[in-house]
Amino acid sequence: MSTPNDDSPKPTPRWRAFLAKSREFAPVWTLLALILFFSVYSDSFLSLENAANILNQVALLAIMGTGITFVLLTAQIDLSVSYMATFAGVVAAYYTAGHLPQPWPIVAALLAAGALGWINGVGTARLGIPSFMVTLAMSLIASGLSLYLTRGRILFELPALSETLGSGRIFGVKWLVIVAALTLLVGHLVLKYTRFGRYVYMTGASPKAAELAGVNTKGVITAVMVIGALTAGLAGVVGIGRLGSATPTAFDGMLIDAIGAVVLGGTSLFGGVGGIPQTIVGLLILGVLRNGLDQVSVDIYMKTLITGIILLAALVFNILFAGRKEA
Amino acid sequence: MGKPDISRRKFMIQSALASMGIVAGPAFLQTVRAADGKNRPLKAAFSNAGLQATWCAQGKDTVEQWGEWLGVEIHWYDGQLDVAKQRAAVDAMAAKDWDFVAIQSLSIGSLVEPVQKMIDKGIPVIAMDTMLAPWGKIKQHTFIAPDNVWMAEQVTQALVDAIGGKGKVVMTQGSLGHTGAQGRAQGFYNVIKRYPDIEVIDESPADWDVAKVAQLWENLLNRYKKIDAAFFHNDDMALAAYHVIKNAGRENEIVLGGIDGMPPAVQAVLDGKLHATARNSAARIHWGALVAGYYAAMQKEMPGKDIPEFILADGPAILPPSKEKTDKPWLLKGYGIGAGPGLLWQEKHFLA
Repeated sequence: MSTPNDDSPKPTPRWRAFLAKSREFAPVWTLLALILFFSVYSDSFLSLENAANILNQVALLAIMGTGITFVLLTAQIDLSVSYMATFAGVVAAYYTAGHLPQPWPIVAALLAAGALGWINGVGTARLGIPSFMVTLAMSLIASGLSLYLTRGRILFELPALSETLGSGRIFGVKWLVIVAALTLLVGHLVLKYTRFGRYVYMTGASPKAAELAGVNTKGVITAVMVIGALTAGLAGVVGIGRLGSATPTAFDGMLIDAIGAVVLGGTSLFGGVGGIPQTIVGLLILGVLRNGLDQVSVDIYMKTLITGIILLAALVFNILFAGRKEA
Repeated sequence: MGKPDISRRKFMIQSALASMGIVAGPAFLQTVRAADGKNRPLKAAFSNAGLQATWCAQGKDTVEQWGEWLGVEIHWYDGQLDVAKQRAAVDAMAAKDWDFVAIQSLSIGSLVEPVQKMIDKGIPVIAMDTMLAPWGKIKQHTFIAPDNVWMAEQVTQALVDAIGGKGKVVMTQGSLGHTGAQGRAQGFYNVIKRYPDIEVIDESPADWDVAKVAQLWENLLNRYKKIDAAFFHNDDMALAAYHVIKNAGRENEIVLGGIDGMPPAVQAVLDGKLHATARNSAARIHWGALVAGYYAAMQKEMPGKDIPEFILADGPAILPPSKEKTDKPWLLKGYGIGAGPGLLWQEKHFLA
């Protein structure tokens, strides 16, 4: 015989609630552990100047990562973003060298990147080609276009706006960081507070359910591919200003870091889970790790190995701490 | 139907002449074409590390210009800065016949099989910049390369002289597995070890990647409040670091040097942004390979007999013009002018 007390829901113990909350913040604990580690082992790591330095270094990844977050949330992937960033930078420099009035070289760069993103979207959503394959092909197209336009040369004539946004400061803060923060903010607001943002999550979580609910999933996927390309293009346009030149391979190597940072923060590769706050944490984990290893004395032949081990450890920690939710 | 107006003997003679003409005609034409050099009778295949690299692109432009001058038809197989992709490209190259081929391998030993296949077919294979295989493993026609150790020594010495033989120095390396980078690191240390008051504070690699250089140097500038000089394994990395250093307002504190002597870097030396560079002549290596191949095809020069196994493609160190005023310029290094302006002209005309 049951008593009335047996039927009522048992209150969740406080420690369990705390643990559940802690699990959500697994990447944050990883980040704090890294900060603590490098603060102990390096004299130069824990300073305001270096904190600003880390923000500068993750800024381009942040711009690119905003678009990648949209793409991953729909359970797609874009392997062409870093090559599109290079391409956009090359287009902006190419037309600047060709004396096209400003800001048209930048507009042309963003339009070109957006057009390539649209092709990615159409290929994925309308033609049904896996985004992995479409964007892999697009990475070659973007890379080939960069090479064709530069003929293997480095372009040093850059749009003034790129130089300002890439290297300039306002009130002591780099424009690059401000552009990155604004991009992340807009991305967050769109995902969190707009209907389109909800459609992105719905499309990634369950495309069939989303379609039954009346969501144009093909349109959503095409749109996120364009957003991914536009943020990559913006990263390229600003990035050439940071480097002081446009080379045919300038940002190609950022692909793994950009996708890695988003996933490291907790955005699922399988769609529907994650968001910009998670991306920010992932970016900071990667930024702190890369920066920290340069601040401590590590055998150069060991640096890549150590980076890999710490990244793997961070991922394992995230997954274990999060109760294998997204494994 | 009438009988053809031709005797059997006449038919046989005419047929024999026609056959001889078919066989001998192209050979005769080829000789004539070779003499006038306009119709490109020779077919050559080239592959270098990857046209994304400015050095390689300059090499390709040089070969195409010299090919036009010498009448050699050039076919290009891009390595795309990827060992596997270059292997696939050279595999494709080996499936065809060539009068000669020239290859800059991304990695020693990665192209041995297709290269051996071409050598077995009697095609002269010229190695450019990087060895195709360890010495003696394959019978390449010749090997044309710069002296990476010497170039690094020249630039490092110029940097050491500029800081008075003491201070904190950084070496930013290319890829650690790259033989050129290893030679440049060796040259750097050959000089540095003679100066006990110099401390090497960082020697991290940036893998020839300008984005990595920017990140590495932002960290170095934060970590070290004083850096006196920096040696970079190539000019592209040196120029990328200069941009970061200038943004930090420390461009007057750190003396920079690179290698390759590409036009933007030579100009940077003349403008005072870089202190030194050394010319790793993409032009000399590439046209040298073309000329070696031309002689192999046309004059049948034999490896080890008519052409040595190694040819040095040397290039000068480029330093700022001398500030000394004298009426005896022949007593000054580079006549007091330095190699810069002359090198820029030569590069523009595919000579050095």
